[in-house]
Amino acid sequence: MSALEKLKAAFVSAIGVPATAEFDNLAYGRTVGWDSIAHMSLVNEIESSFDIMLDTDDVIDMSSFAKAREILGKYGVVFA
Amino acid sequence: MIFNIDEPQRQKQIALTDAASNISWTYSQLCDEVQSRRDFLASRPGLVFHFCNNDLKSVAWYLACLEAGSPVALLSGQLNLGLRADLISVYKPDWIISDQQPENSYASTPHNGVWQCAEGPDALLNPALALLLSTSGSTGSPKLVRLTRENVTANASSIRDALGIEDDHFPVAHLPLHYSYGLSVLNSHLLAGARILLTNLGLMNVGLWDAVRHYKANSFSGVPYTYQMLRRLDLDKVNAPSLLIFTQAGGKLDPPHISHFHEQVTRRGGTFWVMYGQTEATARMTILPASELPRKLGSAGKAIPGGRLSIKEENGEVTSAANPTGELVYEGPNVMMGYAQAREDLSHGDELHGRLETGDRASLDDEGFVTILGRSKRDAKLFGLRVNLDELEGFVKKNGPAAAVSGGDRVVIFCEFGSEENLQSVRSELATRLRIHSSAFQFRRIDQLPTTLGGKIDYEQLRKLL
Repeated sequence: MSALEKLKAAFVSAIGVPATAEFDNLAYGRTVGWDSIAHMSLVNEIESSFDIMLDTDDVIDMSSFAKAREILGKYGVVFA
Repeated sequence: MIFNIDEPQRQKQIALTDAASNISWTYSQLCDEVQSRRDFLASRPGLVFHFCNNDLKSVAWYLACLEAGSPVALLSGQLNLGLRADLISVYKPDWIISDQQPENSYASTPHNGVWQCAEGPDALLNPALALLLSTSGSTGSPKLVRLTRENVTANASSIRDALGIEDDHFPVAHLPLHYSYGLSVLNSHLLAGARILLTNLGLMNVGLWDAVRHYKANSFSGVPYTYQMLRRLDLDKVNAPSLLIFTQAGGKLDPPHISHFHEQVTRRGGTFWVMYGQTEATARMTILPASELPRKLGSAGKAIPGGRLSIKEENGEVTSAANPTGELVYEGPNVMMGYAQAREDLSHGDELHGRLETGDRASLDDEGFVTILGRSKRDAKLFGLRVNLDELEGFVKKNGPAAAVSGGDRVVIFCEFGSEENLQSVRSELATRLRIHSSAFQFRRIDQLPTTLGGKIDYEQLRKLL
């Protein structure tokens, strides 16, 4: 699975959006289902699929799909 | 006025700050905002449905209802239209306060966001009824708790005294106001003449921490799940050194988490308070003084001022044994009048007479400290929300035979039907319906649900499978 696919899968599982969602439109607090509980679940999913540990600032800064990609970049994840 | 908000000495002090708009109201402004709304509501006494958010207007309308003597049901402003319509048809409120326009039988009023029922009121309201709260928050259940003004003010006063809330306390009110714990934070601090920072943001949102930092709020409240998240974030790393007072309620936080926060908060010179309550008791029943940690780790504390605890044994008698274990019974001026399931029930008077059988199993030590052991009723607590397992089961059973048991912080649902894929879709449907994250539900396929000799589902057997 590519990094992008893994990230999408984490969003599908944690936030409950369909696999066909417009991922770039997803935003914390705006997307139905993306509340603090789903956010915690998303953080757990991302940490286990990429085998990383996110810093506090990154956890609370990860407010959109694009932001998640950007943050993961800091941890050495490469999106082809 | 309610909570002494019109007390002369505090009129120039700030009562409320809205983090989203950066607008603040002094107590004097708050009184004006409440008074004009009270006069408007008094033009037609009746039941108010208030779909509220954590903002200035919502607080003003809530207080205006209490002042006007109009019973108000505080409901989640996030409730979807279907659930709203169901509740409206069951309770037929005379007024609706909401960002969203209700169905046709409600007409707009000069107040933006306030609608009035076109037809006349059709059922009597008990004169003592002041506030209606849901025990399950956002699930849209029609079961509401009936509270009096005396319930609300007595509980606010007990909480203020037990926590020692002063006018320089400054909580960030992020728990929803339609949730009894969230509302109690507002009530007890208004009574103390303190300032309250209102926000709809959760602690996973950077905006919440920016607001806490900017306004230097010093008090924080959370349910177990809030503290689990805060543990993951790490309180020392969210850069909110102003926070010094921490309270926890809404379910049992594991003792290792309590120890962790007690130590971390003590290091910054603050205090950590474990509390216990139910919406049926307005909010609070017991508080563990921060100074009793770690000595009384695991306990939910002592009865709040004006309250009394006792234990009812299995045989139904109130026991006088030393360190008794059984169902916790609470007596105090904050005990509800009773439940309501529909409009007709709102005419009923006090059915409990100040005595609440909590449905929680507990033990009481010789110093009066209580330890909550678990629920004796068919309820589960998921992310701080109470969910009745029979109701949940009823929803799943539309698809086939199923039984639900509580497994700590999640519910396990055993089903005699469905493929893996099938159960996944029932799971997400259930999560959407109850507005609770799907990770709280685990579906398991079972060939045949175990039954008792009487033919009922044998939940004890099911629990052994967990």
